[in-house]
Amino acid sequence: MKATLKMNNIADVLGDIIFEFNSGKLTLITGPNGSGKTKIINSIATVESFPIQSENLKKQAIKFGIGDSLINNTVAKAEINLSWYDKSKQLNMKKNSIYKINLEGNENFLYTSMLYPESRLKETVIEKNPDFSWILKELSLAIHYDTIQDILNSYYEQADIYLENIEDKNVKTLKERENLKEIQKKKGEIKEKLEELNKKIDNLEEVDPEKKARLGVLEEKIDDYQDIVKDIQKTINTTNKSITQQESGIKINQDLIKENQKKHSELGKKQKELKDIKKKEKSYQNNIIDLLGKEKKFLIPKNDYEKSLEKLKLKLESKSDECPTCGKPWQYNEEIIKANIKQTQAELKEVNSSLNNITKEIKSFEDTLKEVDELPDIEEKYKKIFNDITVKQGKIDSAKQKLDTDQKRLKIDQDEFKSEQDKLKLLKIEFKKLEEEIAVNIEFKELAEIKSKFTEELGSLKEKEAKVQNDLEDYSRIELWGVLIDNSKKATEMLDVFKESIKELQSYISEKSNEQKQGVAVKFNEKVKTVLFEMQFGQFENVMFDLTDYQLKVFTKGNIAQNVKSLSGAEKGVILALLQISLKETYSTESPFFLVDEVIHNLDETRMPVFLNYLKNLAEKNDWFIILTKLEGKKLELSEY
Amino acid sequence: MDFIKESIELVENLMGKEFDEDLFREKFRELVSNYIKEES
Repeated sequence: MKATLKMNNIADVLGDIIFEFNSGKLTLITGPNGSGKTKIINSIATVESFPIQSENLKKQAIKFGIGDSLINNTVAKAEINLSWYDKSKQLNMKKNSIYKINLEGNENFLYTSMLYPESRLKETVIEKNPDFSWILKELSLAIHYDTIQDILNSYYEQADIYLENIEDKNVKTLKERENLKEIQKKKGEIKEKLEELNKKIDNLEEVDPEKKARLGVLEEKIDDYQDIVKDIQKTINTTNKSITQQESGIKINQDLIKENQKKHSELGKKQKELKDIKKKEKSYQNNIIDLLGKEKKFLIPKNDYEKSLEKLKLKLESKSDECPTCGKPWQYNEEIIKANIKQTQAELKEVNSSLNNITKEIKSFEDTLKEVDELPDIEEKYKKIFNDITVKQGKIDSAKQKLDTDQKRLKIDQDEFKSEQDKLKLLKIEFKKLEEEIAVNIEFKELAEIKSKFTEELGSLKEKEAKVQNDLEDYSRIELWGVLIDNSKKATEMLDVFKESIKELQSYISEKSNEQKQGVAVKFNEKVKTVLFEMQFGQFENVMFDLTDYQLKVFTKGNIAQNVKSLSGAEKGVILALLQISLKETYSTESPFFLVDEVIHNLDETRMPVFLNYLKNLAEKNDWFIILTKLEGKKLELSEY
Repeated sequence: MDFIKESIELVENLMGKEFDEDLFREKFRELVSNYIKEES
């Protein structure tokens, strides 16, 4: 079975490039750095893994250059086609992670079917304290159970926050109730004092009713006059605004007129100039005809000189006594030929310079004549600007008229304002005098002042009381996940029960997650054992996931347990290869592709052929396309191992 | 309302390879609100 990979606008190649692979074979892609080896396997990986939803895998894809970073820098979109057997996959991508694929891949391809320098597996192997448990989690439903566990945790924490809030509200309620009591006590005291004061005021001597009536009249008059003065002030303000508006309008229009007058005069000049040219249009055209004639005359010698020059150059190059073009005999003399070339070049230069001047002259006449075409436009603009000036002048005149009226009105209003203000002043003097006469009883004044203070204090206490009552009402209402509950004791009890339920749910979820991890671990451990036996590396007795802590345990000869971090670089290379192949064999039954990018240098010279032979047999056994890149040779080449 | 029983049913219904986290959040929130309403 053959697989065909067609890449369009990928990496450095614009347009199409096609590669073919055979199933059941181990294909080696060799070439120097930057020759495009990785781009080939990244293109396959993109088609086989997209669309990617997992955040971890998205990061991996970006890190290794899978996805839209494969698009050639000079274009905005690219396409990858991958077909084998009866499958034909097409992925279109645009920059900014926009993808369209006809047959979706599986994002886990990046974990199971690809071994590359930045892979999570490789990074875990070289970590100081390697933790492989993510394999069991990511490749099973355990990852989803963990997500649910996180969600349940957030509810548990929220329940705690609600409980704290209720406690806080309870404390505040007690405090506010004390406050309310205090306020109500003060209110009662003030009310009593006010009653006493009212009694005292009632017992005071009556004021002269005539004077009291006059005071009322004066009060009303003052009020009226104050309104009148306010109205006049308003009118004055409006008139002032109108005056400022007229003045600014006049200024703007005057400036515009000045500008337009300048333009008008420039257009007038241009108009005159163009009219003069129009009169001479015929003579300009004649000039052009003359110049074209002259140009023609110069073109013939120019052509001759160029031809001669070409011949002389050939003559010089041929170094023979025979014409290189016609074959007729001549005498070859390098010095004379060079002198002739020099002279011809000088003559040609002169002809070219004359031709240039003529062309320039023709162009200048032509440009001038072209300008004449603009005459109607300019005449139109000239008229328009004149009209505009007339309109603006009209506006200025009318604004000036309004300004004059406004100024007269302002004078009248200002006089009236002054006279009304004087009247108001007199009324106020009279009022004050009368008021003093009436308020002979000093005690009355004092009592009135005290009464006013108490009344004010009572008002402010009432406000405080309302606020505290409002707060108390708020504290009695509890909101739990959008549901309002008006009994804090009930809410506390419910939250306690809820927390217990969440704990129970969490232990159920944790059990489920463990079941998943165990299932995957058992399956994986069986596979690792087989692969280990088949690879015949020898130094390891077993590699397996511990079913109690889900950590990877390595057993060397004699069944000695060893931590991965204590292994040598080459041994880690073996573990890496072993794990990746086991992952591929355990989980990836969908994709027939297995990609290995430049990681075999982890293996030493004796282990490498074992590994390659194992891959070869694996490809044959499963009918897979196993593709491996290797830094070797001077150009990109594909071969079968 | 048996909150734990209904929650487990929800997990089992939505669990699978294509587990939709947002949908689970939405449904669980509804479940919690209904439980609080009923109990209050």
